[in-house]
Amino acid sequence: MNKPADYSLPALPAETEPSSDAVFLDLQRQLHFEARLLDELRHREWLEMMTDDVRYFAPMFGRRLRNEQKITDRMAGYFFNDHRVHMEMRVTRLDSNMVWCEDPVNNVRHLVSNIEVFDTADADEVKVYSAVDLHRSRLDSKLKRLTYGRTDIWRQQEGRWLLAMRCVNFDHNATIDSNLNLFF
Amino acid sequence: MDMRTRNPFPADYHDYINTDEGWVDRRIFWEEEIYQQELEKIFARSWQFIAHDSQIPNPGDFVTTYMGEDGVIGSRDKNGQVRVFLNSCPHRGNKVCFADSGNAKRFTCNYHGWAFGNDGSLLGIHNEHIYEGYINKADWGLREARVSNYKGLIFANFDSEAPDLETWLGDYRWYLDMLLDNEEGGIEFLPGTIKSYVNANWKFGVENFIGDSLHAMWNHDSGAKAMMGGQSFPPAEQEGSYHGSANGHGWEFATDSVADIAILGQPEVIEYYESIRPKMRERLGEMRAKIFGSLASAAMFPNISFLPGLGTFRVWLPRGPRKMELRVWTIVNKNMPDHIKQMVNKGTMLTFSPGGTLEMDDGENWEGNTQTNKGTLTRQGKLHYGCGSTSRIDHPEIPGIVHQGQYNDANQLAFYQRWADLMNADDWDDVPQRNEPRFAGKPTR
Repeated sequence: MNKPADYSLPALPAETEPSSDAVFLDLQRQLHFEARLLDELRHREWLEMMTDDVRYFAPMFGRRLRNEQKITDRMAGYFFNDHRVHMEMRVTRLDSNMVWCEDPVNNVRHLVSNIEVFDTADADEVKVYSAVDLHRSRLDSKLKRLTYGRTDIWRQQEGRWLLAMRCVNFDHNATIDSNLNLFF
Repeated sequence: MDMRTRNPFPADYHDYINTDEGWVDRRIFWEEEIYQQELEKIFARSWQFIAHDSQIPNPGDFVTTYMGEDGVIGSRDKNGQVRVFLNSCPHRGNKVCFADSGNAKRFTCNYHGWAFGNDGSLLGIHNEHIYEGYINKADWGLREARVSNYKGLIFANFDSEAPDLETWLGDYRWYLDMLLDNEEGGIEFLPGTIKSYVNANWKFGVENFIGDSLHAMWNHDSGAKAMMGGQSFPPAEQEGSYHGSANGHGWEFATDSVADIAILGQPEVIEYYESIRPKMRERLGEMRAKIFGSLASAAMFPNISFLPGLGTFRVWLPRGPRKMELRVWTIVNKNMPDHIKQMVNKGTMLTFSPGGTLEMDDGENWEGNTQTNKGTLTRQGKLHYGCGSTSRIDHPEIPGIVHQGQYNDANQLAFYQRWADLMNADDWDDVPQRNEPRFAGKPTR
């Protein structure tokens, strides 16, 4: 496996101005298309939407008292902190036909909402906020619902929008499912 | 009609397991009555994990957790002593702390403003003048547990009659030193707690780690192949591998030094451990230096588990007989350089978090193990635990109850035997000593 050098969580670039309506519509279309790829389990096509240097991560926040919320740890925890090579590994695993808890196939629905798009200091990159309501139904009686916010960086590259960074913030202090066999 | 349907709850908990025939009664994973007995006879009397020293290093630092279903606060007081007390106000009962962790001089109940120090004492009451003559504050602190520390791991126990921690751990200290003391400086916990709920009985998590290396090769095949370039786990090898158990705690292991560390997928972490291996040999001896890092998993009675070398450490907190809360941390050697610690963290999260390529396969199995017992007929059956039933050996170096071959049900049965011993016993004198300790009163390093 190629060994990426940096294992700390990356910082998200700052936003400048709200993006033009045209860019907003582009990104909204992109997020909805992405959601459908994931719902249809088209993971390989989804991977093609990533830049080579993509970072995909979900930081962990403990529940602290209000006056201590600003405290940041020297080595912040995370649920996952993937480079492209790790995302490919996850897709390879899902494609192996030996992930027993994905067989029979689960029904998954990503409902993407609250989309905001901002320009950044880099003319090719925009910062995109969204909220996701994720339904996953496993077998007959097991419906799990996860909600989370996302902060993305999408980069325009050869006429396409590619995902360069995604920070996932789960709305649950305790994960309500026994596994997160999903992409967010 | 099968007698068991008319006599649902034997008085002797040893009737739920049979170590000779190798089976376990399914009802221990389902019945509310048995669960209530577990809370009383096991969780109210056992030494349980509260935190590691590195998680609460400073005066005022605290964590909240559970001992059984009892919420507790573990707090370092102003003198640096860790105190553990029930997280419930003795006025009307509300929790006095709802945060997971932090630093606080006092914990104040939201309801009437009763305030408790980080030593558990009742410091003051909102509008205290109206209590003049009605309360002796010294009598109304938070109920406190005994606290003891083994090489950085903080344990608590509410039973004043329970044996001390060293006796409770017994010869398991010989094993535990491989995790906690394989290098000068010991270990530390990295920041961040992953919490998740699994609709399974808590014992399924424990028994998986205490001895079930067999499941890995089938259940985790997809993760292994994806991570190891299409390769599966190598075939099960019983030579040079063992189950070791003491006082219900267990460790299953091989003796080839590197398999678990390799699963992290971080070559520099392997290099790091190899670089300290000569010193580890001096600290722990040849045998333990060979065991550490091999394909292994371990659990401590009642509900702690870890993978030595891989760096995942967790507790299975019971939430009723059919649900548990899993809390997971990453542990590293304190003296590792920061970038090596980051690599361990990366590796453990990639493999053994709820989003991990190996962990993801487990939870649903345990849910299925548990929830099928809703069926009346299903629940009447036994579960087979007979693998390796004749493999017991005496080993000159490895202490405790030792079985040849890490693909074995021996540690699981020893865990359930300890479970039954405690479930039966009204008194600590009634709890049998199942293995003759070699290290009683002696250090294991």
